[in-house]
Amino acid sequence: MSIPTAPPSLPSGRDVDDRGETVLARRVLEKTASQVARDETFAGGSSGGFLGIGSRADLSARPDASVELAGNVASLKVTVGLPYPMPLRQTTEQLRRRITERVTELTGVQVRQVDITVSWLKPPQRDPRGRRKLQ
Amino acid sequence: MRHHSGKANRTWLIILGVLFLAAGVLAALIAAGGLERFIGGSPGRSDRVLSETDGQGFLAGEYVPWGMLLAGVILGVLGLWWLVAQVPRSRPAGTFRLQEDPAHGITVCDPQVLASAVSHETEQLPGVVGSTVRLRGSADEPDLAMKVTVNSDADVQGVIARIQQEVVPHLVSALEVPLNTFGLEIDASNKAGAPGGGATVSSRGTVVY
Repeated sequence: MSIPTAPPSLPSGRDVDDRGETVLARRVLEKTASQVARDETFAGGSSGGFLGIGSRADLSARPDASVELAGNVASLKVTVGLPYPMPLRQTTEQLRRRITERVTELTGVQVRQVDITVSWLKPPQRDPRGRRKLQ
Repeated sequence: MRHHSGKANRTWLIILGVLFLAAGVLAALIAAGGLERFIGGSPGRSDRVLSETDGQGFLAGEYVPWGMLLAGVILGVLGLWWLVAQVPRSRPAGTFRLQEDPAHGITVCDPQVLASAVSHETEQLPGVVGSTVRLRGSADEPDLAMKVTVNSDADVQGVIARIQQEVVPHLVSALEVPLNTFGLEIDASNKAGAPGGGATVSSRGTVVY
């Protein structure tokens, strides 16, 4: 039994383009953008329900994202929910910047545009026990 | 914050004014005989005078009833549209565009989303039974109108103060612009407030003055 000592080498003179191609599915970009939005910003999504019916606002869920690809350039549309009150312009600008940087960094696809729709705002919840402190 | 059809009224009044002015000028010309001179000179020198048969031919054409019917339908539709336009209605609010940068993307938010958050926060106040919130205008010049229903035990001044000191500033900080207008209407109800939101404490004992 012999152990190969050197990795198999490509035939000489073969072009890099002929070795194959790597395809990144659009869905991967959408999930990456959603995950970045959830993990690295204040944005949330919706959870539960069936076919979008009965879903509820959830700040720990991934926001919805859709991607349009043109070559190596992507345009994203993200639908998010945010805590309330929060400065919406600043928060969404931070979200846009973060998604642009991280998706480009993680996937190599250049994100040109991120359109954001704020679909719900979640005010702070009261004490679930319904009790209030006497002052 | 009702929207009236001032623009439509002005437009139609101008159109009617021009039409009636033209009709008045025409009637004056006919009465003075100036129209006949303007069209074809005096009847004596005219080459052709409108005969009785010509008029009958004009009015007896097959297209005349249909033309009259079409004109009537058009006038009826326009009149109905004008009548409907007189009904006062709420000023429509478009989607708030919070940011619009063609190079990097836009940010939009439905005013109803903000109104729901404001309404939810208001209903958490002690003594508040319900609220209706309308947010109109634009993201740079928002108009806020609120109707807040309180129960009979509520501290109305306290509710108003907390709306002005908490609820409205929260909306302003979310939009990052001051409100263009703010209207608040307080209504009273016999309903009990939200659980845990009431301010009434029942007790027994001796009151010492």
